[in-house]
Amino acid sequence: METLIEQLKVQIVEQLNLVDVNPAEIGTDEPLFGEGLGLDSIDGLELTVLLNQQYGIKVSNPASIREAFASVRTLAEFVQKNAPAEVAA
Amino acid sequence: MMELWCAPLPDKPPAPESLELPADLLERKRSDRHSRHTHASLAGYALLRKALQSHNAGWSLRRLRLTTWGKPYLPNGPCFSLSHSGGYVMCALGRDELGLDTELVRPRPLRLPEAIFSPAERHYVDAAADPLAAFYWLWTRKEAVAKADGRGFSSLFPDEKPGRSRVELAGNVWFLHRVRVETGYETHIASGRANEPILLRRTCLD
Repeated sequence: METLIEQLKVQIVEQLNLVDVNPAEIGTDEPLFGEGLGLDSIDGLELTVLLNQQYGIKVSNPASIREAFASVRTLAEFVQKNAPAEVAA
Repeated sequence: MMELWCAPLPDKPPAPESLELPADLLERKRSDRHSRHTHASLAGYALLRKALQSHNAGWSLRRLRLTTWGKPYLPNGPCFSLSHSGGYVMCALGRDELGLDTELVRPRPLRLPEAIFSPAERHYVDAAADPLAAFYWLWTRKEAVAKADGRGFSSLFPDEKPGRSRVELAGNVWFLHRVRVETGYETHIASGRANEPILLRRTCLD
């Protein structure tokens, strides 16, 4: 899980082009949206793309991933639970 | 009538303490360590304060509260929605619930997940003479409705009829109003009334 968490931090920074953010500085439990990392909905759009491209997860509707987008940890848990076995391994 | 306040993003963010925010919101703003949006978010509250003060109705940011979905509101005050992008912050103010989204039209990969964009919407973007402009036109409409609804990202949904001015969501009807505020920006307001006049108020925060 810890490896996946660190990997997600790097992928988030790259996918969203967060030029002034060091992945190591992202708190595993800090909010991704609003306060915290300060992502907005258009970033959420990119995160759904990231989940599909990197982990083969096809999000059925935005409401289903609201809780997953709470923090990097919840996102990692969502990936572990929903990614096809060969991708999550 | 709705008001749309627009201001260039100030060079320096307003000090959180200067905005008279309630203690819980002030604490959140103080604890932001590297939020990309903190500067613009604080400027948004400064713009809201200016808009409220113009009405001389005693409305103060001190009374701001957050819904369970994190949407700020002013009990017994006007409805409002804040948005920022590029070099501008904007604030829509009205008697009834509304949602505002503005986006600087800038190059970006046009990746449109099925969870958010219907086949008709994807075709609309693909077939447009300017797909980037078409994307932002669609996106700001979706986001304005999502913000009016109050659940934000969770209420984005694929629309089988892109471009309609009347949208139903969770039992509410929203009408979309496009506002030409600045060249290079796409801006929409969703409100509960069709053909509602919008008064554009330009100001500065420095």
